Amino acid sequence: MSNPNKNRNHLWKSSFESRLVKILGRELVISREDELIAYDCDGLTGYRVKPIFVVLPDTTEQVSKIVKLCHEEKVPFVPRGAGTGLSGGALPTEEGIVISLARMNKILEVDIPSRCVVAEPGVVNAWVTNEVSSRGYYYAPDPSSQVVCTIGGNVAENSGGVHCLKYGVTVNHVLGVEMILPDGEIVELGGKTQENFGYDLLSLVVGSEGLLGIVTKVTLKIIKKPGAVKTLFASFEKIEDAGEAVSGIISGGIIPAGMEIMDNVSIRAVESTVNAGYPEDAGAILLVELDGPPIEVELELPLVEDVLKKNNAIEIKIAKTETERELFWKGRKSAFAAMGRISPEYYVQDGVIPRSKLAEVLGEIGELSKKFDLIVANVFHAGDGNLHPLILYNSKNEGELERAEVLAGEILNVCVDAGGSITGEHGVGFDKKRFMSKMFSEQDIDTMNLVRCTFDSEGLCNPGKVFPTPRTCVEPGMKKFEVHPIQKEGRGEMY
Amino acid sequence: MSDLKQLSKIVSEFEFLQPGDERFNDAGFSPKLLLFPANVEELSESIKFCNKSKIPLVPIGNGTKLFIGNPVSDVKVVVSLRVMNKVLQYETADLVSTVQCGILFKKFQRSLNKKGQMLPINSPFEDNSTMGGIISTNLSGPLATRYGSCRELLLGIKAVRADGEIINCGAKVVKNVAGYDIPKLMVGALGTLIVLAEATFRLYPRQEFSKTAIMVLNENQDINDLFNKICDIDVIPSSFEILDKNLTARFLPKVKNSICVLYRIESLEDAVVKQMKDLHKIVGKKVNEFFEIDEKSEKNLWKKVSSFPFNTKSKLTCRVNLPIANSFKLLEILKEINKSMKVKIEFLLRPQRGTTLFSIDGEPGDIVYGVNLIRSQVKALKGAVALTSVADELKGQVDVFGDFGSSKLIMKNLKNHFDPNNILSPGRIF
Repeated sequence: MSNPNKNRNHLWKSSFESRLVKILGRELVISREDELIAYDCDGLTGYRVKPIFVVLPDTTEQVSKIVKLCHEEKVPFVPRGAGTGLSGGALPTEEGIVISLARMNKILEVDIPSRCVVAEPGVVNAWVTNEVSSRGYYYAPDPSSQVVCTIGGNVAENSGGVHCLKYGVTVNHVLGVEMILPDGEIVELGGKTQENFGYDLLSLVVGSEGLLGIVTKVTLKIIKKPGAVKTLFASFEKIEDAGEAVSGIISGGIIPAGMEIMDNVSIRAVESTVNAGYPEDAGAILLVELDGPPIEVELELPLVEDVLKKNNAIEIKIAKTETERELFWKGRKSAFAAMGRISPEYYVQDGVIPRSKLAEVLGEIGELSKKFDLIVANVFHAGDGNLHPLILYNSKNEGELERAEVLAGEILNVCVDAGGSITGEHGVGFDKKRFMSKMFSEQDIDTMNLVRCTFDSEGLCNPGKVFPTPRTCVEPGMKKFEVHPIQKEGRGEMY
Repeated sequence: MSDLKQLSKIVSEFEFLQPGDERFNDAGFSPKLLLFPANVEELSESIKFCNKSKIPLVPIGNGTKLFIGNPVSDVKVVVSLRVMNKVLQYETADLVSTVQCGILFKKFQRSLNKKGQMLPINSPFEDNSTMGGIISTNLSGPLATRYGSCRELLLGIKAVRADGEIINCGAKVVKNVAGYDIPKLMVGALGTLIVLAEATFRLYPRQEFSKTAIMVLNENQDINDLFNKICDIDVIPSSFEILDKNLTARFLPKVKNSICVLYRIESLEDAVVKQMKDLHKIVGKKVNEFFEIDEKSEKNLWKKVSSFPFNTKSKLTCRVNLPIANSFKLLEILKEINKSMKVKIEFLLRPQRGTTLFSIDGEPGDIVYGVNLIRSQVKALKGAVALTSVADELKGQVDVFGDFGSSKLIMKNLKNHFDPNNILSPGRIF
């Protein structure tokens, strides 16, 4: 898409800035070059774009006014939470502004009788559980970054976590949102009810990666803490056996709260940093957490142990105390960070495969790792088939970053060929938009564009993300976007 | 050749309806042509033709719930998915299955049960409903207490757009965030946005053992207090319903002049037995009667509950969504209207979902007044009322969906983008 702002001059910028300042006050509009650098990327640090301004609104009305101004001036805007996303979803747009929701960080209401919490988008994920924990409740989605990532970002990305096998992802836990449409209008979708009539717009907004508007208030479902929790891990010589054990547990009729696999590379990295007690010589470990009413957990535990043994588990270790349980999880949750010990950089993907193909796909990833001469560490949500292959590289070695990127694409190909998805929880963002066509046809993507155009006909809200090729909106009934013949033949691609 | 004749040539099976054919009387429209596409290609071609010729159509499964939503206007063509009725993919270790949308729920469920798995849905008309119809109407039943509505179970779809293009959305795996969640958008959309051809569902293990407890209370007992006590117990019920006096009298004739709480636990046998004991220990003394029912009665009772409010002769039925805490306030409102007005109301509350279903009968004027009164009070309690069935004499007198609030404009815009010629179930929602 051509950038309408390319030729805007210094005078326009300074007038636009003063209009932002009029809405927010001087200190909440960031324009100094050195300060803007802090916003030039999110958790995917390989791509960086400096925005023209960053604004830090405090209220829904301020967000609405800013968006109205952007709409009037045709300035693209990118909403941003804590910036922990791994797909470049909050990557700024050239000649656009970043609207940071970080200051809108209040929990507005705790409504235990209706089992919900109303929060501003800048509220950190873990704060929600902290707020209701003493009353016996918690907020289920728990991405690994939950101590820093925000609810607004979770809504945009439809974040998952280690417990979503049993409890679902963000979309299953959001009851309502207040949002600012890309023309600045304020709307409410859903509320405190569990179901709604009419079109389920809420399901579109959750996971829309900030392309449909800016969420300014979120009503979250909270659930009762389970009466019992048992966490255990089993070590295996072969990772394929761990994969088979996962299928065995599920087809045995048990749905654990979480099932995570880590391979030997990950185990060693974790052990050298947090000392979680994982056996360093194991080919893989499978972490299983059972939760629910005490009697159910008590009855399920021996069934799980049985499946693990049948699948050649070398050792099974059950956490005896809460501290030990936390340590088991700490190992898993710090796996990404621990990679720093064995490699200066890594590139992570989050493709999903059907559970039954785990062993087969892991084998293929192993082959690819050899072919590309790059180490791939595997840490993943095995229960729902959500892989997190960490491709280790050093950008100082010539061509290694490029090789890692190609390898990542090959891994996603394997996932799609196995009947899976290119992303389970990190989102498409900027990083994976080029892979959308692997999973979806032009007609599929066109249909998604119908949704986007319903909300944002001008394409101002977080442009350049998700869609593999720029698409404009046409009035309903008119001729739709068509792909250039060169692209259609596969002779060229647009980014 | 007339448009309809040309259209009929596209599909392998079709039927021209004769004047006086009564099959669509309940639906309130009189189609002339019934199409039975054999595959997604035929479905696509027929819709493409309708779109080009601007022929409005209604997509149906088995046509059990065509009375839901606003009446459609001027429809001559019905596209039935009845022939597209196969299980396409089913891998037990994945707990995922893909079916053609014309498959009967019963047939699909049977194939899953054989492998010890299930789709946790029990909606009305479950003997004759197709999966496409269940998705499009989103009438979740008692199992929604534990598993959520159909929305939480639908992972992916293959469908035909209003312009005839075949599309795939979502995925065939339990976790996926690539692109907008268009499958969920189709849940409850009443066939107004696209025509569903295939659907992929998340499945669950079938529970080994089931037991239902019935707790009997006086009408004036504090039901909210009992609810809180029950929720404090460490049990996850699969179903949890509160039946008013009138419905209790109909579903459990032996229980006189009381309201009833139905509480079902499904799990491993030892777990169910223990949890039932715990439940009895805690609430047994707070209710007038506490008893468990045998397997056969249990099955019959849940079938009746799942079928409500469609197993009533009342002139009007509704579904209400409220915040959980406020749903108890609605019970008081309904009880009061039952007493003070010349109408008969039967209702049930699914307390952990905040969903209430009710039927209302009486003189047309009283019914209209009653429903409007309920709707205004529900709105004040931050909820909404939608009509689920209306007798002919009352059609058009009460708005089916009420007020969609600030999202109405987006919904209309969405319909306009997906179906610019307004050929898919026109008027059903907008």
